[in-house]
Amino acid sequence: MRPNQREQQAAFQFKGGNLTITTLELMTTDCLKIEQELSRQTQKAPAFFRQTPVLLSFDQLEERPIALEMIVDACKRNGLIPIAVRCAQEGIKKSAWALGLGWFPPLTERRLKEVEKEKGCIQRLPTRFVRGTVRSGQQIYASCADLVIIGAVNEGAEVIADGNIQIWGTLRGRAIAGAQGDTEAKVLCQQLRAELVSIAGVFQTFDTCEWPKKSERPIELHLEDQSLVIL
Amino acid sequence: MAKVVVVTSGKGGVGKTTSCASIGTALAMQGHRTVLIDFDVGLRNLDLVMGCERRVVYDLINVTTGEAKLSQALIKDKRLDGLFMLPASQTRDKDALTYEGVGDVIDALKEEFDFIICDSPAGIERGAVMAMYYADEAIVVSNPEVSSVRDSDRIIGLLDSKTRRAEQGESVKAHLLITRYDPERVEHSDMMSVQDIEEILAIPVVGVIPESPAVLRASNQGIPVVHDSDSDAGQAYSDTVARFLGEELPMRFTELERKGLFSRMFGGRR
Repeated sequence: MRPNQREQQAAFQFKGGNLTITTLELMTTDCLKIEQELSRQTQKAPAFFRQTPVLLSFDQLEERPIALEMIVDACKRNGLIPIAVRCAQEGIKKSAWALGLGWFPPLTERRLKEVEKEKGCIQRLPTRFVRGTVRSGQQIYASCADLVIIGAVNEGAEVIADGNIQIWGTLRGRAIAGAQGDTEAKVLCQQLRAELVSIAGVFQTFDTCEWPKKSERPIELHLEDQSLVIL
Repeated sequence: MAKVVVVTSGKGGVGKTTSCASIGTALAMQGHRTVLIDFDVGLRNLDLVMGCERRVVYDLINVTTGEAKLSQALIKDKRLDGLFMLPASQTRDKDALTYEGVGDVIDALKEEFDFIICDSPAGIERGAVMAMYYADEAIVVSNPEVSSVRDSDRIIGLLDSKTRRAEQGESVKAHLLITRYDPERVEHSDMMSVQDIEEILAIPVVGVIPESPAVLRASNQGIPVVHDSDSDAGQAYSDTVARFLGEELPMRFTELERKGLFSRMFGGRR
């Protein structure tokens, strides 16, 4: 019987668990300001600042060079013991490890991720023509092109184009032009009785805004400084 | 060549079944062999309006599932030769109706009849789509009222996409029938006018049926209103069928009647 085969007493055990910890959510990289604020807070609540372990969070700060060492020193001088950082920045992570602090990934739920901007159309395709009334419940989408409807667009119908929209009739439904973000897109129609018009994501319903009176000239809608203008 | 005509609307309660009964009757009166099919499984009404609810033995689902022969299910009209009806099932589930079964029935009926009128249920679901699937022409019934017009617009859109003709690249000829029209309310702008509705729906108007107490009377008696040739509604349905068959007739009952002195003093609504 070999001595190794005797059961060895384990030196330690890894256990998962939850610990409540105070997070210091940093709003500035100015060490002086941090130090001043810490001193002020220590005077207000001295009991809190008795070697309290804290997590330093950089979620609120943009990508910027940070003097982590100085912030850690400022904390220690004021009775806080930083045990780890939470950030997205690589630089801070490396500094933390160099200082012997731990690292946690950033809270993704807090930051609203910017929606990936769709790449615009590579090329404009020929104009799509549709004859006849577009009826309630129908939806027409002209991808990377202009859309011309020779007829009316009834209530409950949707006409969508990445380019311009021309309606040779009354618009009673929805018209969505510049669907991929083209702010130069326009909507033209002979009579406007629309539910909603949108150009490059800027939309207008006609609840409070009045429909223009019927006239001989076509009605034109375009975008001017992020708001829809009716001519 | 037999013609399949669907009477549909989208919105419920606008007068599909009433119109179906009167149009079928008027066609038979003109000598065309006509059959009416009720597609409203579970909520059948056509047999009531035709007055043959006590003679229903077999129904459309019995025929499509092979439980009964077509000749056993067809009910002959008491009043007219050449007019028959095929009732809907009241107890079966509407999913029991299949496209193939219905197709076979319609093919068989085409051998014997000139006109096959399909009374559609309300809505845009399976029942309504099945009623319109085999149609050559459609009569879209609409009240002069915004929600009815919008629903009719929707159903016209479906005629252009969910019918066999649409699948084959042809079109279903749609006619507009406006029911419950009241010229006085139109005059006061309480109600949409024929022109307003025509402008939105963009299909030709085949008839305008005025709001009339004759319709309810006829329905309760089980006699299609077109038999009441003294009533405005009855005459309007006759005109409608004449126009449907190609005759050119001026539209009646759409203008406000200027009542004479005696009418105003003594007359009520007929």
